[in-house]
Amino acid sequence: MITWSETQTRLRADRQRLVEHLAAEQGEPQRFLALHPSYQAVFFHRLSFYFFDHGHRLVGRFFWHINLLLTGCDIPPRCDLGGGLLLPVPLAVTLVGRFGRNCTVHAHVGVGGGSRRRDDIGAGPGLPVIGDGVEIGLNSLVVGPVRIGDGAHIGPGCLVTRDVPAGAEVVPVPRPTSGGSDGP
Amino acid sequence: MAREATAASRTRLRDVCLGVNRDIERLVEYAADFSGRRLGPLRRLSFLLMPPIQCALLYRLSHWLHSHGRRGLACQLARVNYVLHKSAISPAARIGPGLYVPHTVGVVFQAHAGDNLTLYAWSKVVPPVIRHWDGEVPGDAPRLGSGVTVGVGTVVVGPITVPDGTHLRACSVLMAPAATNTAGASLHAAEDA
Repeated sequence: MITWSETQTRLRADRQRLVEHLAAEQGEPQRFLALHPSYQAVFFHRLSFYFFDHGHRLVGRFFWHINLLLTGCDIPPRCDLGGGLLLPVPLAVTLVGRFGRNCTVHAHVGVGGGSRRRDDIGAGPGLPVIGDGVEIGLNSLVVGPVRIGDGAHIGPGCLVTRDVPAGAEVVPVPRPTSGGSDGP
Repeated sequence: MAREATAASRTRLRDVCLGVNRDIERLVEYAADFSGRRLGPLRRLSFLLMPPIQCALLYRLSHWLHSHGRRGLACQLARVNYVLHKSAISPAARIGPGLYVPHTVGVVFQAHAGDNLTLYAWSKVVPPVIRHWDGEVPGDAPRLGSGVTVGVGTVVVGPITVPDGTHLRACSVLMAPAATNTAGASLHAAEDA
């Protein structure tokens, strides 16, 4: 069961990573971090996970719903995310499974279980386990009980349904394009 | 306000309750995978506070209003659903009991479906040209059978009949030949909706 001090430690790590990210992006530190959607998404999930884990399921679901309403980020309270999580744009992010520390998840990313394979590899039936320091690019999907190794980088627009070794880089398969005006 | 709904096409309030009850049962089935135990009646009631059930409930109420000719009110309720859960399910769409939307973000649905429909996040089931919510579902909208699962990010466009028990995998695109030329426009319309 997660303790309140552990929750605070994870929140501090989240805040630190977001501050570094914003400073690198904007050149100056953000003052009102509490109003930033990236921080709100992670903050409400931390509360949701803490209360749900302590048996206050109703409160946990309440914060889950508030998160969905305010930021458009859907992270169920059962989902265990390590500290230092960075969601640069939390819009339409759906995360289910177990995440390690210092992960980066971009917008429109889906991580969750498939409906066919239901084996449990440590995160729940059919859910993936993501290692430390993993970055998941824009519009990517990680589906089913797969393991993503530490430090792996999943590029934008990828569909991952198999295990990814540590430090690997996943790139999307190029799709054929219909270029001409007389095409199908 | 359009009030041309006939008595035959009207949904009864009892059907709404039965539909929501079946929606909760489906969520309970999936939740039992994690908890490993059966849930009591009180815990079932608490599922009404979960986004997947609230999304289904709001859709069923808006469909009930729509079928009784209260289209303006139905549209407003659908808009509440859109704001709360980021999903655009047309009030005119007919969906049988047992609707399961585990993650409501990005779902766009303007079609007809049978019982036990599963819609994953960002799934889009739409006609070639998406209409405004206050109208009927056009005849060239997809028709899904019973027990259909629409995977994450899957797009179904045009007059397609999907048979019972079909499982559409993640990111697949199912497009009717007649809808090929208009698919781009319809997808942009879905994003604008």
